[in-house]
Amino acid sequence: MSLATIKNRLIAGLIIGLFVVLLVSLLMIVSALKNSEHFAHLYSILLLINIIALVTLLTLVAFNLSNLIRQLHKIGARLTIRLVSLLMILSIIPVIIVYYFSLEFLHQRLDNWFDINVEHALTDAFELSQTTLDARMREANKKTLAIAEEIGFNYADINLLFNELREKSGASELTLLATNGRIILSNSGDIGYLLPNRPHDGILFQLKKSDSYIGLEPIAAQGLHIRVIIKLTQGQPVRLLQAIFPIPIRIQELARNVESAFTSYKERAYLYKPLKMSSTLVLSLVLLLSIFSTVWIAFFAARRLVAPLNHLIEGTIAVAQGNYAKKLPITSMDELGILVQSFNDMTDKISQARDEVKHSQQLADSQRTYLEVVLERLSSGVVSLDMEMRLRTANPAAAMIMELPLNELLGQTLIQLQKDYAILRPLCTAIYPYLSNYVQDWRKEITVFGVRGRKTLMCQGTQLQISAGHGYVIVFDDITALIQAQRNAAWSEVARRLAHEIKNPLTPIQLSAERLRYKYLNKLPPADAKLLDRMTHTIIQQVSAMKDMVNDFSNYAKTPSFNKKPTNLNHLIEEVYDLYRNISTNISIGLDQSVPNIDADRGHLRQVLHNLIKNALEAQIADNEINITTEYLKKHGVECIELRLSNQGPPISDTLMDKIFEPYVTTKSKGTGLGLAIVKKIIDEHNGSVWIEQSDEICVVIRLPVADRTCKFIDKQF
Amino acid sequence: MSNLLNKLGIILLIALLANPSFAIFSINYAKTSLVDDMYVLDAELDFNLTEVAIEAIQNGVSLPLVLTIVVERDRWYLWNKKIITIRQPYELKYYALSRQYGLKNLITDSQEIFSYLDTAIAYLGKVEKFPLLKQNKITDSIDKYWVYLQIHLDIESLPVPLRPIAHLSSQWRLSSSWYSCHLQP
Repeated sequence: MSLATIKNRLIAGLIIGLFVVLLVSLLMIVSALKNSEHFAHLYSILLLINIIALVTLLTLVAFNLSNLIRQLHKIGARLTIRLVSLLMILSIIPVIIVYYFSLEFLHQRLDNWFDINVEHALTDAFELSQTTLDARMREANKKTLAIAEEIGFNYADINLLFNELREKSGASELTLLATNGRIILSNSGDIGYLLPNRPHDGILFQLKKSDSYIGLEPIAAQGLHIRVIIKLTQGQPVRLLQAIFPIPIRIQELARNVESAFTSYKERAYLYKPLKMSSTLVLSLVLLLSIFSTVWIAFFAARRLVAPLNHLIEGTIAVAQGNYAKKLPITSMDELGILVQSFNDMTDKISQARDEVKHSQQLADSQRTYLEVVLERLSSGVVSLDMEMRLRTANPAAAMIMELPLNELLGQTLIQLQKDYAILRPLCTAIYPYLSNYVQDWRKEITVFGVRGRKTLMCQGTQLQISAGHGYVIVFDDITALIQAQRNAAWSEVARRLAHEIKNPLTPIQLSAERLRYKYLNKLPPADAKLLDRMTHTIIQQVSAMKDMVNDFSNYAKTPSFNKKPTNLNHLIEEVYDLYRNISTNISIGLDQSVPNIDADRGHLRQVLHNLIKNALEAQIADNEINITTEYLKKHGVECIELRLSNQGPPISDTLMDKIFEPYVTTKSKGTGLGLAIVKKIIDEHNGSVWIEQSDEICVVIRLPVADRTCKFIDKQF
Repeated sequence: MSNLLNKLGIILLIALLANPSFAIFSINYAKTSLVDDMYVLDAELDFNLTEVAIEAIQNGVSLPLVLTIVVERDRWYLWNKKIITIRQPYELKYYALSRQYGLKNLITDSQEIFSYLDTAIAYLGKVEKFPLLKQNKITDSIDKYWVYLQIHLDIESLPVPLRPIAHLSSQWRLSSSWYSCHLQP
């Protein structure tokens, strides 16, 4: 048992004890009002105790009421008020009704005590008794006066006459006394009583002021008697003559009964109003004590009843605020106790469920983190879209491939994005049919144009079932380098085999042609000899040209050796430009002096510049003008050096444009088609990119990364 | 104990009602003398019974009167030491049949009968040779001994229904002031 329970029980026991004491004291008051000898002496103190109890209860009720009013805004206060009001109404109304009827009944009962007939009868009987006794007293007085006259002032011979006078008068005792009460002479008819009956001091006190005394007195063990005392003033000294006359026993009894009944009736009549008031007072006290006790008990009961509900409300609020550890005290095992127990069980279960959810969430979070890490480290770009093609997630690889800060663009639709970012247009155009037709899985190769040129992406899409609806996850790989490598490998192989296959018969052809020339040139007639000379010369020249071509093929197929050093591209351009300064075609350069160094093989880069300038010079266009510029690009998220070489070349068809950097692709009749292929290869080896832009003029664009850095994005996020 | 409680109750009730006692009784004089080896008291008390009290007597209600005598010794270092407290109760009653008033000493149970109320009251007012204490009880200088006396109507001995009214009404709170005199030989 807890300390609080023991304390509560002790308080309850104390309160019950006090109420029992109060009840007993009320019963004692009622008993005292009935003239009970047991409690009559305690009446005032009992009344006082009850008044104090009433004042205490009143204070308690006032205190509770003020508390309740003060706590009106608190939880459970309104319910307490309702309960208290209900309990008060239920208890006070019947008590007041009972009080009213009790009071009426009591007053009626008290009124019924006084019957006019009984009163008259009693008064008559009393007056009759009084008249009878008065007559006897007058007779006794008369007889005593007669004795006094006979005695006169001659006290000397009185002794002889005393007995006779007494017997003659019918007195039971005749006494002669001094004025101070001293007995001088006495004669009694009753031989059993030796001592004469001396008058009390009070009578002697009265006789100082009057000459006679006549009274009806009860004499100890002799009953009611008439005492007559006459002051004998004729002689000296003054004496008192006392005669005691008996009253018949029957008359005594009747007189006593009548007097007792009359006195009792009169006293009762006199006490009627005080009794009525006292009864009303006690009844009112009982009523007020009952009412205030009930009110106080109502407060007490309401508080006890509301307490578990308050706990429940507090518990519910705590649970609503997420505090599932809240435990409510179970104070009883009744229905409220069961409710509280159920609440505690419920919070336990909610707490367990929350822990499980938390655990699951942690698990999901760790999995998500794991996935994010995997996605971040993935070389493939991964983006997810919802059904409205709104970008939901994008990994860093996707941003790298698309060359866009995708993380900043989350939440925007692809349709919006493609308007702002041209690189996304081919992607959107390609994937839109799949998304709009809800194709479950699809795969497509897409070509996009970014700042680093053409890119070939292998896209793979899968429809997702996510909580917010459907969506897509798109995985794309930049396979530009792979395709290029494959093509390069294929071309290298072709070149190597071709060179080998072609080179083998060329030497015998050249030797044979030289041999024919040497053997028959002098033997043939001049005309024929001239023809032979021209033909063998052509054969030897063409074979030589063919050898050069085959060597070029071989060079292309070879893996070049690079010797990269920090190089200033502007200086290199100026060096190459100096070589072409004296040619007819106008070459102009515009170099950005802020370009930083690049890691490059000067020889290879020089070859790139030669190839490009040579290509431009070979364009059969009037007013051909070559323009070379460099620029340090530090915008749109890229940091690299851009070299632009433009001239008024003939337009290149779209079909050719796709393959312009592949070997053996040329617009010129005499070209080997390896110039641009070599350019492309060298630029690739320098981690740069090259493409051709075509508008009014043909412009080759090369972007190279700055030293120790690849062509990188400023924003570290992607 | 019950007496004490009753007194306490009365005092509290009176204090609660904050109504001062109605001093309608008085003590005209009091003096002591030494008779043989006993100090006795002679005093003259004056009773002015109110109409309400007289009406009550004539309607058969016994009027309880109490003469309280306290003998104390002065002490300079503490409050006075109480040597003796005497409570002498009387009962004044009317006998309707004989039209007489009876004055009963409730200690000795002896009763005096009077034809008139005034006579009875006058008799009660004459206190003669009332024994207080023996001479051997006086251990200090006689000058240090004081006699205090007071007469009052004992409301707590009235009929029960009358008590609340008596407590509340000044007509019923009949009491003399405390009269003090030296104990004299």
